[in-house]
Amino acid sequence: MKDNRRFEGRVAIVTGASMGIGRATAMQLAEEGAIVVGCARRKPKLDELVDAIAERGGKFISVGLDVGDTDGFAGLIKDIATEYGRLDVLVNNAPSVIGGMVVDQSLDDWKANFGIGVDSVFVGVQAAMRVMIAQQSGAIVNISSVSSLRAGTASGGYGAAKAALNQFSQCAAMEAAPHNVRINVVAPGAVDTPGLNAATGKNPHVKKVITDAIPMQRAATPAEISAAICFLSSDEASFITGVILPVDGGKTPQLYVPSFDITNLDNQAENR
Amino acid sequence: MALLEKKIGLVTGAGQGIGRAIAFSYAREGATVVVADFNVDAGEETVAMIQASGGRAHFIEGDISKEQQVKNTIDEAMATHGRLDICCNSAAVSRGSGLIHTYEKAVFDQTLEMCLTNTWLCMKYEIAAMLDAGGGAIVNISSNASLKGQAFNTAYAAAKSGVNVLTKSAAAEYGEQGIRINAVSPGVVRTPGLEAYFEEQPDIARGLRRSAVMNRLGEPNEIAEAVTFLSSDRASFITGQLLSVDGGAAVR
Repeated sequence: MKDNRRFEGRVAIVTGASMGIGRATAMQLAEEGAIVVGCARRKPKLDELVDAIAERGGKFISVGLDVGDTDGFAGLIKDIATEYGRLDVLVNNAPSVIGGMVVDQSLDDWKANFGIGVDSVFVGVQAAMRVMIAQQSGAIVNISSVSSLRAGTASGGYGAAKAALNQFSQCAAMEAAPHNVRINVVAPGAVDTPGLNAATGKNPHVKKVITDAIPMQRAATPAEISAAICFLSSDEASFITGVILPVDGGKTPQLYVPSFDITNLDNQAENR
Repeated sequence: MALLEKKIGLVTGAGQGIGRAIAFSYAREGATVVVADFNVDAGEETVAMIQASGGRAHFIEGDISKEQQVKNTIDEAMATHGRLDICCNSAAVSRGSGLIHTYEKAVFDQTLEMCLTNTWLCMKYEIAAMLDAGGGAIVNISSNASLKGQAFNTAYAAAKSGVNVLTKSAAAEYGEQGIRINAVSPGVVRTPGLEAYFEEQPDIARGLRRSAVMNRLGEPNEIAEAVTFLSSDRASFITGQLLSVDGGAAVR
């Protein structure tokens, strides 16, 4: 029978850990025995996790940090590895979704997608690889999006940034592989997160527009995404590296995905 | 709780190598495993090994490239256990075909039959059984040969790429009914048959020996872990996917 504490004695860092996918991942890693360091911009929100995880017998360290502060982020990784003597898992989850039609989007918004989505991930992977290559073990999971795999309206900047993240992850995986360090990507589809609910909450039909495009006819729970992240972070995936694993209810493998315009969901929902 | 507690599983080609490791992994996680293979001795040996380690398994003999035998296998599994929750279609015959202008149509036909048609046949009857039960999970074993061009292996590569599209298309058909269908694409795996295969197919072996990115071969259990994950509720939102378990070889 499988060990349900796959991360006993291991040290993990999760970015964007205050809510949604990051929060679920931090919870699961901690429940399975890891010492989890979570960072997020909103420190008070993140602090709630300390008690929530302690109640379940786990250990969580809350760090108020915007990964856009790349020096701070690299420093955190280095410091944690020094303090605990190891770093086993890094989950680059901190999201930056700035949608916009090409004709409307500002160059600053375009760059912001790449700042958090690519630049910060590069810095995090670099710092973590330096530690993990030295210890000859470790797993990194970068969180991408189905928007990196299929084209859509109003997601040019976001989709391009996530596609850059995919290719960077695979190239980094090639450098890490000889050192028993694995780097993979999870590409979530629609997930029931505060982020999605804030975007769709005004109209009850909006979510239906989104889930109609998914063969499983629903959005994922954050725990379903974290289950894939934890699998790839664990020794169960010891021969898996450089993969992009969509967790999307079958959306991206379809030939034709029903389209919707994320800037105009209210109108579409009314017209159905 | 074990990952596959109370599940009824079926593994084809479970008499040896990767298929045997998958049957083992299913059983270790609490599933009752139907071991299907055309080789009676090999299949019964897998069952005996699972039982010796405290797992539950039973053997059904069948050549799953024959429709009637696939039907019989699924019928017997359903009659015995009343349900079929997780299936791994692992049975395949992998023989290099050689340069296209040098091999006979019979080689192509046989390869498609033993790698693609058999998978379709198994899915046909597995899905019918799962629809009755209200859901399930299927994992097809593909191959890295399906992903990019592989010289000297055209028939096998074509057959396995057929498995991939079969997987994606069926996933789109049955997602709403709660049946998830995925594929695992192994890289070079250290099975008992590997050295013999390398000797038999020196042209293919040359490419495979140079493919390692993690500087080692995969172990059958590493393929089984991925199949077990995709078969389990931990992958409850993953369907239509092709997961490479190859130490990064196919993306380089």
